[in-house]
Amino acid sequence: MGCQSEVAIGNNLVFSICCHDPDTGALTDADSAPIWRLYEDETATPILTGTMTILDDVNTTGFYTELIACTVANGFESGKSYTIYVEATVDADTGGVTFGFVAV
Amino acid sequence: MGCQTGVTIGNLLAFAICTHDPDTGELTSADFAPTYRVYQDEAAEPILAGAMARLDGVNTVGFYTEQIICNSVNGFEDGRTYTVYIEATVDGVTGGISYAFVASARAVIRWCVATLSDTSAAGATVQDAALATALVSDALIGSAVVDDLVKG
Repeated sequence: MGCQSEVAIGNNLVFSICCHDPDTGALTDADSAPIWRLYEDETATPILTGTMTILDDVNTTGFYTELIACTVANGFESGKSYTIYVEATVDADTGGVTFGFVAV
Repeated sequence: MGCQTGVTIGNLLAFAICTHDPDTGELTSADFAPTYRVYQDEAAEPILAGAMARLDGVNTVGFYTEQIICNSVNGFEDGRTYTVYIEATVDGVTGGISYAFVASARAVIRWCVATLSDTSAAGATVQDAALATALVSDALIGSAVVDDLVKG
């Protein structure tokens, strides 16, 4: 899916989603900017949160990305696993997806 | 899903999709060739774009693949992340998916370091050494990175 499975500490990581209308299955922009929360292992407090932005809007539909800096300052540690939870609302229906990766 | 999450600079990468009828969920060929766009990090201008082709159409349904060359000529750089955005239309409805992968030159660099450090032990030829020298001098593989690997 839209996230690499491994990142080197200090590097950037980009994750992405494609939003669809749940009624038709057609690619559709979200009602508002999708939100994301990034967790380390199973710690309930996220180390990072934010919203995603549309990329290349002229040539894409419902396509949102986010770039994060996987640095020590942002809480990343070698050997730990990270989970991104993403929520997006399309036509008033909220869907979600998760991505996982490991820092090395 | 249908894409590896890492690629060595200079290698090929293939990604794939299976298209379904949105009404029935059944594997169905797309109305026309699905399109793809490859982005570096979050730059809005894609570095590559094109259309996917059916693979083994006799034995598969709605199965499309594309192979790209992940070299510096095509804009790939060590440590950068890449996102593939794909659109496919089935029965008049356009759906999409995105894949992510990271490009790395580490394997190439390690080979260069091994070759330049001990050509006889590595069984490398004079041509190998010349190639390694050329690669290290390439902007793609900075001498600082090589030094780091030698120390490490």
